[in-house]
Amino acid sequence: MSADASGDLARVAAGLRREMGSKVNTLRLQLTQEMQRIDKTAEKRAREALARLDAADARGDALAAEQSDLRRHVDRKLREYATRAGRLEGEIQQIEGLLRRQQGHVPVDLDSVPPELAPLVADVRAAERVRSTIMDDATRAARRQEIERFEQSERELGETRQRALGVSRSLAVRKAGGWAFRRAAAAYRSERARMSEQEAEVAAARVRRDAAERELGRDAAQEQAYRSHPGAAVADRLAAHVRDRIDAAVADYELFPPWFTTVLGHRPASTRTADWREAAVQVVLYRITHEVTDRVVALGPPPEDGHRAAQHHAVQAALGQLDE
Amino acid sequence: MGASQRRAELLERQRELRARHDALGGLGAEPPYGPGQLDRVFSGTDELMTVVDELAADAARRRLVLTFVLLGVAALGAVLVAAGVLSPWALLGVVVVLAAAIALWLTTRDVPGTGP
Repeated sequence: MSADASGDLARVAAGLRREMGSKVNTLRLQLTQEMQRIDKTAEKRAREALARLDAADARGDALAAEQSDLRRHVDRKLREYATRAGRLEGEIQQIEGLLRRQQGHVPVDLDSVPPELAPLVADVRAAERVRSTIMDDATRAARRQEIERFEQSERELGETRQRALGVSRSLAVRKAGGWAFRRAAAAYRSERARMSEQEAEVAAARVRRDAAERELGRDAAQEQAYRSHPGAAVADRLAAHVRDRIDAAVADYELFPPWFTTVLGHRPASTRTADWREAAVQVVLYRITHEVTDRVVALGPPPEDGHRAAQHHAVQAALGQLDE
Repeated sequence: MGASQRRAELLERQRELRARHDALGGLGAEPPYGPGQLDRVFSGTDELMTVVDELAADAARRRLVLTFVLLGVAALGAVLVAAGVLSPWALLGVVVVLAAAIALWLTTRDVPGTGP
């Protein structure tokens, strides 16, 4: 190959290289522009999608608020209807009662018992009187605590006395006026003061302990008396009688007295009949046992404390469970 | 009662207390001791403490007197410095004496038997 031909080939190659370079640059520019365009389009579409999502969110919130309002409204209405239904039921029962009274029906007497059960009731009442003098758990625990407190005070006094005795021994054997003697004197003064305070505390605690022991002794005797009392064992028989009486009254569609209907209504609810009957038995038994004769308040005035208060509370709890 | 008499009484009470302690342990008794035995020991200790308190009160009274003497010396020193009899450097000595008087007075406080 001649030198001219080689130079031509080199020029052609250089021209092709330039042309290729120019085309690559053009293609790169086009590609960049295309990428920018795609970016912009994607960004625009993302913004649009976001706006649509925001709008959907707002619609969802609005729907939730509406649903909440609706639920509240429905709940309120349901309560209103339940109140009205209860009032209507009461009025119907009242009318029924009035009609029955006009027809000569009298409310069933749940407070009295047949003469053959009178000794049983007397026994139950006597047992209950004994039981009312028995301490409740809290009082008994407090009395036991008094005894423990005395023992603790006495133990502490014994410890202080031992320390004082040790210091006194130092005072007896150390050189009078020396450093150890002076330290023992200061310690004895402090222990002696503590001992005097503790002796006064122990004396007071002993008085309380003696009283607590006497009360616990009396309580144990009363508990024993209650356990051995015939009335404690016959309460179930009385409860069975009251249960039969209530069953008969419900079965015969008898009128219940006002004190009964104020807490238990005129008829048992179909869903909780057994609970209703047991609560009714408890109320009637409480009235018979404690001779409550109030015509409106089923359990009479609430007792202040003691076993009767616990019974009152239990019956109230049984009645409260019926409303749940 | 003089200081030596009180000191003798203190030793006497201490001897007596030691004897009561010996009686308490010497009978072969183990704790808990009988209330009578313990009462004898504690009453002996209380008597000893009474003498200790009286001795402390006597010492406190003596220190109080010394406090007043030191206060007087300090006052005299201050007057002499003011009159020009002593050099102003003597005021340092006056301050030292005053500090000693205060320190001494502080030791007389809270001593049993000197209170109101």
